[in-house]
Amino acid sequence: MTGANHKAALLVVWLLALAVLYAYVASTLRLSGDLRLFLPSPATPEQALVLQGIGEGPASQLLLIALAGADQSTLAATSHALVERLRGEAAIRRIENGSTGAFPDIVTRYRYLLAPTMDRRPLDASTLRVALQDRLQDLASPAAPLIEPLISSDPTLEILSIVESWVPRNGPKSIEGAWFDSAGRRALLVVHTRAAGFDPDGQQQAYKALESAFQESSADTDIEMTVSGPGRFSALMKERTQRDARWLGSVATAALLLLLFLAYRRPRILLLAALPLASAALAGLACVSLLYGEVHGITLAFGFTLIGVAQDYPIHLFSHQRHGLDPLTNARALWPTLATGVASTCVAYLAFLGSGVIGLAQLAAFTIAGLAVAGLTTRYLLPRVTGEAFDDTAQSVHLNRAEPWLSLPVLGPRLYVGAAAVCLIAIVLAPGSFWENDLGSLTPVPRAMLVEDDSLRRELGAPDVRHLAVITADTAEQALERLESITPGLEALVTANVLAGFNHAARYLPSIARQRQRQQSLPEATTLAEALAIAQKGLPFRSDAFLPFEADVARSKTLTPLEVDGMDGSAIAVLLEGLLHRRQSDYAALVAFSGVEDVGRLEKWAEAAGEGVVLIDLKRESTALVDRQRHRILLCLAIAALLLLVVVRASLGSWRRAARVLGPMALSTLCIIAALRGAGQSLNLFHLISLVLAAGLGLDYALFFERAGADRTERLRTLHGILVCALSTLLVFALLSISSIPVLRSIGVTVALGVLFNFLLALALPREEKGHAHA
Amino acid sequence: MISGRISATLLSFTLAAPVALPQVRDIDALLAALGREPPQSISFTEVHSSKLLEHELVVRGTLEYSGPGKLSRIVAEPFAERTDIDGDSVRIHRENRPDRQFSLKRAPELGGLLTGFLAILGGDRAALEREFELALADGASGWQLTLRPKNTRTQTRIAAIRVRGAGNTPDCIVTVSRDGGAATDLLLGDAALEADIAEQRRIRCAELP
Repeated sequence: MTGANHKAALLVVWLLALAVLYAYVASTLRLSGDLRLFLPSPATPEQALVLQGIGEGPASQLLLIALAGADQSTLAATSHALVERLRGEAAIRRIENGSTGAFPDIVTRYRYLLAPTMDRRPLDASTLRVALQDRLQDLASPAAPLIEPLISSDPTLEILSIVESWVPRNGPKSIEGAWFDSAGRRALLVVHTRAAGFDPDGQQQAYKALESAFQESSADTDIEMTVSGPGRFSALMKERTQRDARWLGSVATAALLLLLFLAYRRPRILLLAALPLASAALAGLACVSLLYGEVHGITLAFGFTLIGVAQDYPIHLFSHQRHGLDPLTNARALWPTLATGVASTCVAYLAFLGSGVIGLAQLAAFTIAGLAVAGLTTRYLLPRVTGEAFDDTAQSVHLNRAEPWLSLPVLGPRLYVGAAAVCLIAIVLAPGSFWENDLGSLTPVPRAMLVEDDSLRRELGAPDVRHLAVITADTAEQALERLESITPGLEALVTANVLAGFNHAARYLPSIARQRQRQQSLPEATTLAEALAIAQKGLPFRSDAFLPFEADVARSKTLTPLEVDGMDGSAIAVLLEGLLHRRQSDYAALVAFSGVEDVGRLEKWAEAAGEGVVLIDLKRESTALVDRQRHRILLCLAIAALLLLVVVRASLGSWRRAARVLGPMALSTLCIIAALRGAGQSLNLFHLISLVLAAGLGLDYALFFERAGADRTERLRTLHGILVCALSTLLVFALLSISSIPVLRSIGVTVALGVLFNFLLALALPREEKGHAHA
Repeated sequence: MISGRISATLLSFTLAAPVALPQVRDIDALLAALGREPPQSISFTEVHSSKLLEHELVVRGTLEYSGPGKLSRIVAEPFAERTDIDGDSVRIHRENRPDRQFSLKRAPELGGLLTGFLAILGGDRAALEREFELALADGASGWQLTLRPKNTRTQTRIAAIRVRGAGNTPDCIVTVSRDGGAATDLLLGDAALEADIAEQRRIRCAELP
């Protein structure tokens, strides 16, 4: 009686502890959507730029929008309506569809300092004469209402030349004032969100605003809107992860409960079996929360699948439990085997702690903490709340009937070597590259969406994603001056068809030196008045028509030149974003290229351009980045494998036994790789994680079978436990393999294969008489 | 002002086959009489005034209507220039200058006028009345259709557009600006070819009482 009360009290304490842990996690842990958590950390400034482009750079705040499904006029009208509705929307900083709106005040005021035409011709009588003749024609043309208000203060139309020079040279084509793709089927827009690309909630908000504005703008049409870009991806991934987690979680839970009920026929077991896993999950989350403060949604999704192994621990306990056996004695007897499994799995995950990838380190911390807690609770807490009322699984009729079918012939060493050789040959001969080198494949975004994004980016004339020049300088002014000094060389490259175009900060904001130079070249008031008088001769303009122009030129001579600092929030600052970066101690200015035809000549130009100009091949950098990351992870895994060997050897007491236990696991790993490669898969980071998980499972199976040895009843109990474990794991990962997230899918397939191979090979383990002879 | 020209252009398509019609009694009958099929071509003379100019600017040329929403304005004197309007897109070609292009969508006041005048061509009174308030006056020398824009943004630039004509033939389109700014008188057909433009304006463009 007191024993039962004791049990109940302990159970209550345990549940309370879990509740407290849950409260802690719920109040401290923040969910992050930053996809870069799974990207490698950069080793060089160039690599830092590569990652910036993917994660937090201004490019990540761009959403690309395509409208399709109607005639051009309707699409263009919808595009304009969308822009109209979204101006002033809080979540959206800027929306562009190619239409030229009102000229920003700052540009109007500073036009004589900003206009590149000011370097090419002075404001003298002959320049003005040509301009005034043109303006006269404008006043007798359909464009008159648009141009007339400008004429008296800006007869040379500097403001138009500035705005035209800002239009991307190979930008999308314009139909009815709106951007269109080259086929003219999709109207294109670019939205600059206020939220960072990796802030899924902020991105979701921007998307909602976009959606509702689109609904209003496209009423009564069949127009469909496609939204693409890093921000959209992160919001979508969060959505999908949550949706998948929900349905996968509920289906898996229901199926697991059913499986456990069928296996033990005791409803109480269902609750008890869940306790170590729940403890593992909460302990893992608390650990990540403590170490990192935030956790990536994908880490969570992975993590929960990885600690699913913890579900096996109580199963082993229950399958060996029977009437007359004190659960604590049972747990104590199983503990060396269980502890070896837990310790070796944890050692394997240690490898990821040192991988230099934050997402992986989080995953490792979560899994190690979770598995350790699950193992310890299974050993010390679970037996104290479990009763003895279990049927001996060795007496199960079904199991006894199935057992002969599951007693596979023992695989000898020769067969092992043979099978390994076959796998190796398959791996070597499989088509395609062994490793996935594309950085993009590390993001969990479906490939189709990336392809769509790429096509939109190209249509919008977004810069060449592969080549980029970086100019470093101590001050922003030096950077701008440097950009100005390399501009003639770049223009020569455009003329020589080496490139289609280029873009840099000095196109929008000239250096202070250049602005001063333009100021000085502006004529004095009397000189200008004389030049105007000469230019007007014989033309029907009124003599006082250009007084505002004279006043503006006079004022321009006294303006303080514009500087990068203090431009925040202005129309020019928006254009500079992404092109000029302030770093800790210096500035980095980017030169973006489009339509690069001759990389060799571009490289020669960069070499000749002198100090501070570096040409970056983003593709090469990102491949190097992935490469470096993989080498590091492989090294960590190699160290982990050695540690594992030591742990298993120490635990089993002999190399022979260690080899017997590790053999199936090693062969299984080879088989999985052979199967994946045979199916044309290139391996990536997520495959490696899955392989470690599969290896951990296999090690557990082998350890328990090895422990049972040739003793038939013990073997039957072990078989029962491992059957339940393998079936439940297979179930969860088979479910995962139909997830909508490609990364989860590949993990699902890899681990499901692993369970299968490991289970079969563990069945074929040599059965020795003196099985459980451990310390 | 250019709205006036566009409207004139559209109305001019009705000129090809002058049919002797009795006095126009109501707007419906007038609109019915003005409808014509493309292609059409007609001479024009425009008189522009602007507060920036000492005196008026006279431009002569041809208007061509080549299909729904498509028309061209070809200036011959005193300079050569060609403007093509296709739907909402406007393209201007000048000698020794790069072509310029803009959209009527970006100038809604013009777009509205264009829509209105397309409605005249199609005899679509309902569409016309979405953009303008209409008033018809009849006199011994012909009729006068006055269009007053409803759009407030258009109103800030244009007070009214007066179309004057006789039978099924419009002769002159006057764009009356709001604040004494840029304005255009546009003479069409035979009147545009006369040497004494001042006299023609006095006869054909004056407002009917």
